[in-house]
Amino acid sequence: MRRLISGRAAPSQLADTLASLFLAELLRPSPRLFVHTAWLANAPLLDNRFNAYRTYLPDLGFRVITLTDVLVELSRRGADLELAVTDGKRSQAFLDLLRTLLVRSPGRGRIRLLSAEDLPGTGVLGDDFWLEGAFLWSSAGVTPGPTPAVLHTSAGDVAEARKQWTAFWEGCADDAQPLP
Amino acid sequence: MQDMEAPLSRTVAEARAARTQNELAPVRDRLLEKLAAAGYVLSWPFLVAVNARLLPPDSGPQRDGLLALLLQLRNHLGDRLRVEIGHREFAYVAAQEAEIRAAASMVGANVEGNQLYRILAGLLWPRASLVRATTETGYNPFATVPLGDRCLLRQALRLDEGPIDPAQPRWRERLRQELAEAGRAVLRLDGVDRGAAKALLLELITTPLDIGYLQVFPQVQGLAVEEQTLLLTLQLREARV
Repeated sequence: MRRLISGRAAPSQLADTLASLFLAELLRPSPRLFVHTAWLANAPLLDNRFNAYRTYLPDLGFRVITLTDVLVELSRRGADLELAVTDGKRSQAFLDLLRTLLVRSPGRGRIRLLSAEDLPGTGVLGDDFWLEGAFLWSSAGVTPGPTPAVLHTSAGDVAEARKQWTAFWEGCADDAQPLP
Repeated sequence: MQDMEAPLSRTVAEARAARTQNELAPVRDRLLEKLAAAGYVLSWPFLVAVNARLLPPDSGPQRDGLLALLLQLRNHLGDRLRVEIGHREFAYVAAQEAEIRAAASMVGANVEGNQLYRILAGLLWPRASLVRATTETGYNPFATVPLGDRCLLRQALRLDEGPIDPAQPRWRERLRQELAEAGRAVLRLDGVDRGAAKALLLELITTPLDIGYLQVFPQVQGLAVEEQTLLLTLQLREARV
């Protein structure tokens, strides 16, 4: 299946989709999750101000759960995370925060960061989905990029992207930095 | 933990047998993995409770047996009386039972006088509803305020109506109808198969719902865990407009 996220409602639909995807990952983490983007920022993902996720994520408190919280939790649950950005300098604040959180509560999963000029694709790629798109992360949220985001869940699309992205990471293994 | 041959029981026995931190650390990691695989949410309060209530020093199968007897008796009395018995009241009742006294004396507890009552009251956990109610009740110096019960409020707001079970036939039609009419629906996912829950969630956000003149996608509003059951709350953003 493919879902095109476009039109006037795209910003809210993109935020909702990312929230659902990361929640799905928390349910059953992919062994290896890729996030490829221009830069990373600590965007809000799940609204837990009214205890909506209290019993499932009890340690995160009554607040908005952000990207760093989810990544640390995924690492704690054993997922390997591959983060690739083209603008490492702009991602610095996010990475500093992520490092701090990982030092405080280290996880079982491996987290690697790669700063590269060209990426084989952008978006969030798990075992059974690929949210394709050059969306822009900020601490206020996620904004759609110039082209519409597409959510792929068909096995063929996801497998093809995983093959390319895995080969890319194997080619750049020496440049990838482990976090924290 | 009553089944001594179960993998979880064996790991618990290893944790109890550990004498040093170096021995305990790997066993503890294995225990956490097994608990997570069994569907428990490894929250900080849960782990504190496991350490303090189930794995205190000198705990063993006999203590587990006493706890199992107590829980059986509490469930039996609760079913018979159709009320939730407070843990102190239950400890008093249980302390009079010959079977409980015999099991307690095997653990080495002093069963004379009120000692057994105190031991049992410390062994039992208060009901979750009681703990929750004490945190939700405010202070009023002019009146005795009964303990609050959030279930009354949930009932008034119709929040507990109709969780949809995807194992039932025509569940998609019911989901579409509830989302279209109320803008909100709750899916009840029984069992511990988180992979199936993930696949279902991915399917829901990828497959549009036809609500007459619009094709829309539900969004996740919350996820709750009740023992082995996941309650996934979905809402329709368009229905709120």
